Amino acid sequence: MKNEKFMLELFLGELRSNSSAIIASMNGPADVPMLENVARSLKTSARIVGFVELVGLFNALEQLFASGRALAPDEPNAKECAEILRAITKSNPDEIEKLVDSMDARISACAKAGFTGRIAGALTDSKGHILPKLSPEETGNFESLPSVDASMKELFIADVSTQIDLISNTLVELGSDFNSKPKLEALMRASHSIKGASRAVGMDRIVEITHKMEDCFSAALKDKISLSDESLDVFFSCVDFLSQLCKRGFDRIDKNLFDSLMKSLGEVESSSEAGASLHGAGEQQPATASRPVQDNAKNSYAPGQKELNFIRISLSNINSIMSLAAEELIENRKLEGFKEIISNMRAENARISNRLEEALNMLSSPAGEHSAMARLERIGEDLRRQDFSFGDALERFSEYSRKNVLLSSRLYGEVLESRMRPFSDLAHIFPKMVRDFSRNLSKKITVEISGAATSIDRDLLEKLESPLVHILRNACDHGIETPGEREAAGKNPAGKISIRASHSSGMFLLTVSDDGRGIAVDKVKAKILERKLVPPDILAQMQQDEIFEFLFLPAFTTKTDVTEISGRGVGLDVVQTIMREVGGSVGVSSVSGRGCTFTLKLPITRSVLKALVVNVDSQPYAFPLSSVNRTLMVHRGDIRADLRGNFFMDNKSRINIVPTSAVLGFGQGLPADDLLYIVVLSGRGRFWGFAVDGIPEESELVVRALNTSLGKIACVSAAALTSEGLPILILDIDDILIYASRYLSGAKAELSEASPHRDFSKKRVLVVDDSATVREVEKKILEKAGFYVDTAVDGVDGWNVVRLSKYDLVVSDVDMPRMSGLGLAAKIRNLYPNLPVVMVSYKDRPEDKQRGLECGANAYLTKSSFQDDSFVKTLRSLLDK
Amino acid sequence: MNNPGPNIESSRDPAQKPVLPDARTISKLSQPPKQKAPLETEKTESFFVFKCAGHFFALKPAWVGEVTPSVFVHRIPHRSGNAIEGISNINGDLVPVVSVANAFKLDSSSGKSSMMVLCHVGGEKFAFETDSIEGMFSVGASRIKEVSEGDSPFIANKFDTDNMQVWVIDVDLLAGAIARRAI
Repeated sequence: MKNEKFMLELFLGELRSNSSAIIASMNGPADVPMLENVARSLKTSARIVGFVELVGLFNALEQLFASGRALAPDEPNAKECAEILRAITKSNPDEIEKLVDSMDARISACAKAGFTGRIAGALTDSKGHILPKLSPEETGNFESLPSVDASMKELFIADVSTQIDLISNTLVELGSDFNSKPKLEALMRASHSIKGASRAVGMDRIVEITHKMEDCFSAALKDKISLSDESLDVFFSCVDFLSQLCKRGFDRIDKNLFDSLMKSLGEVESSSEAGASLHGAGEQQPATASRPVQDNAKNSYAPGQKELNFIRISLSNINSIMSLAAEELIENRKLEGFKEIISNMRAENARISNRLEEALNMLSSPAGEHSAMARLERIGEDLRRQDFSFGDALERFSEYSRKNVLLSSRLYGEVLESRMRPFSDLAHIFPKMVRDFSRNLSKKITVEISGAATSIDRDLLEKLESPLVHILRNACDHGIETPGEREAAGKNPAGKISIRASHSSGMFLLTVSDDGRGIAVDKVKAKILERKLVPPDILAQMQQDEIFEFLFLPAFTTKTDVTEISGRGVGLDVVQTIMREVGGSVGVSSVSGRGCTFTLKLPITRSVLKALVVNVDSQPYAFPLSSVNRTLMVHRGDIRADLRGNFFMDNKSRINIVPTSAVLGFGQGLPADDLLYIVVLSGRGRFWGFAVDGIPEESELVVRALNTSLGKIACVSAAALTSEGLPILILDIDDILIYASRYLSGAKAELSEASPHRDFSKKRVLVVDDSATVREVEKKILEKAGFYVDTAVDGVDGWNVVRLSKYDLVVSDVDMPRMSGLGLAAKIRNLYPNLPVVMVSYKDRPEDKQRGLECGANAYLTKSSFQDDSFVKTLRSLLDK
Repeated sequence: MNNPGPNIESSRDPAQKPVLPDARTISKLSQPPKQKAPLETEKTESFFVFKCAGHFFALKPAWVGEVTPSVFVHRIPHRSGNAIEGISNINGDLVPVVSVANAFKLDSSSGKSSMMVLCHVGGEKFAFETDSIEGMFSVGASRIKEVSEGDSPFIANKFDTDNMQVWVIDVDLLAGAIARRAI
């Protein structure tokens, strides 16, 4: 059966998310009803994609779980089943059909043999002893590491990570001087530190491997062995092994890899005794150890695989935050004192007021005039004293206010600092990565990093990883020439890549330069003409930097060859997209034959945004300052109009004017004032003037994410609060330019957010199923048959959706979480007696069908009906009634 | 969508008005209902009742977090007329504000909202704009009626009390519809 790729992707997705539950149940108490559902669901999905043998295997598993038993770890067929599932889940949509075909006999035999299983909940050995719970998922070649208290593990991982970084960087440096005693000592100490930490938490396997590493470095330090590139490969493999463990939280180790690394370390350690120097090219490498390094180039640098469950903040940073917070608390308590002062003043004012009233009363009688005057004089004195007190209180309060603002600002700065990380946190991976790339390409490349201590927001640092890996990969593969080519060109046979980080004008600036062959402008021009992107006469007038801009277009490459290193489907367009996403930019410059430089510019933090705050229809909005070209005040009389809309000329540039209010969907035209305030942006090949209500103000905003239930809001990227606590919406510049463009083209009707197109001439069917695969299949079949289809992911979702919109028919699975199909059918029958419900299930026993019909279903079909036209025929007959 | 029910404010007996929560400060509504339970021994259910666009609505107390004075609502671009009126800063959180009038297609010209009711739904927060807070009511099970065909789907039940017809909002369904952008 030939499936479409997305169907295989869906099947693989389901298999990956569900098969681990089946495998894990071998080694612990099992929730057999849940597993029965999992096996049944997988069986249905396997049937849909035509994997007949897998249908048999999942059927056997379903039978086992239905009998209340779980897979037994000592049962050979259970192990075989786990192996089969593991192998298939590691596959990909392009290979899965071939793989399953090749495993047909194994799968079939496994299904046929069936499972004896064990009583769920108890895990016993052959003698009936309860076994401890092992790994949470697979056992196979993996060995569980001892569990450690969570806080202790956090410390342990942080400790090991630090030492691994140290070892990794020192190994790279050691590559240029294998006999460097200080570096060997540093490596020995770092290995020793990991060994000590591992011993403290009882990680014996880690103790073993780091002890072996330490022995090797010690032997090299004592000149008992000589290290080489090949022995460095072994150490780097150990580093990768430990790094992976850190990322996975030291849950388990791959025993095969561990044994192979121990063997390779043994070979390094005994190299001199065996009389076999590991120096020099051409000598045999330790096969077991070199493989992981080769794999690194393929796998380890796929960005975005980091799993950071915690963050590290420096002790001085947290101490500063604590002391500032304490200071703030004390300062705030002073407010009580001010409250008392104000209260006393108020009482004194009331007293003066009473006395004034009395004096005024006395004035009304001639006898009291004299004493009234004396009293008024005293009141005058009291008022002067009161005025002095007010002045004193105001001065004290102003001092308090100034101090408090300063304190809050320092506290905020420290909190912000806790989000910052040095560039070195990312940069430390590059020397080894470039080394691996260059070895794969048989090139010599060194990396020089400067400004490693430059700080940047931790989120942005992570965002930088993909673009940088891509640029470095390109530099290694296409930029730097082979040693032979370099020598022929009169260059040093070893290429050099320089990475420089710095802060510049409030932005984080990163340059990546190589001294390779550079970008061939002629080739870029030829490609531009070949793809008819620009007419030849305009291309001839373009500057080099304008021509290089084309390199950032999707699928634009001058390379016809795709290599393992750089043919990974991530182009420079993706680099640019990522940079834009974070409010940054990327540019490239090159001198032919001398190299090329990429410049990446991005904000230091996304937590704080420099913005231009404007009012639109009395509502505050913010334009990110980095996107604003300029602001202008324009007299209405200077505005002209033509077929392309309102515009004015500024420095010979046409600036199209759009009312921001209308672009945001509030339906207002340009403000009626004579003087218009305009925010100028550039994009989509022209200048745009956004008319706003008043004078824009520059401000620093603390960016906040919007509530996820709002989904993507057109023209808005995030929110913030004004100093008065009012919400501000931060504008999404790419989005607002699209909407402005639509506004100018007169497509006002399209300005409202696009809602899903619904063709009401079609019969509307709701498909409810918890399997994504089944949902997609049913949807595809029904859409092909001419129905409009909505989907829901379980009974509760289905019940919500059916009440929200009008449907002509509901198709539902039976077994679903939260609410079964039977429950859904009963509810529908109660509220919508005339709405047909079709049950579709894998269960084909007469009693199942009877139950479905009793609950109110109009028809009951099995999922095999998808294979022929009975599914669609049944729906049509119900709708025609 | 039909209106949840008629405006019967004029028929209410003001003397029977229950105790109102303090409108000046944020009230935690965890205390038991202030309305006395019905004399009958039947099972009762508590509801938090508020008024909006001339109609009375109820929420199950479990949904209700706080009541706050009405604050500035920032409208959302390209979403005018939706159930979501905008976002507001409530206690430092940017919370979506539900316009009951829009959600139930009511005429909202009868008055300006004065209070907001903050609800917690499946880990998310929503605020309802209200004209006034009527308080907590304890209602006998026999007086809680099923909705009829034609009532808004976001009404779970209805009941009469103190000459008011009160519509119980199905907050779960309403939140689901908002998330699906169905209203």
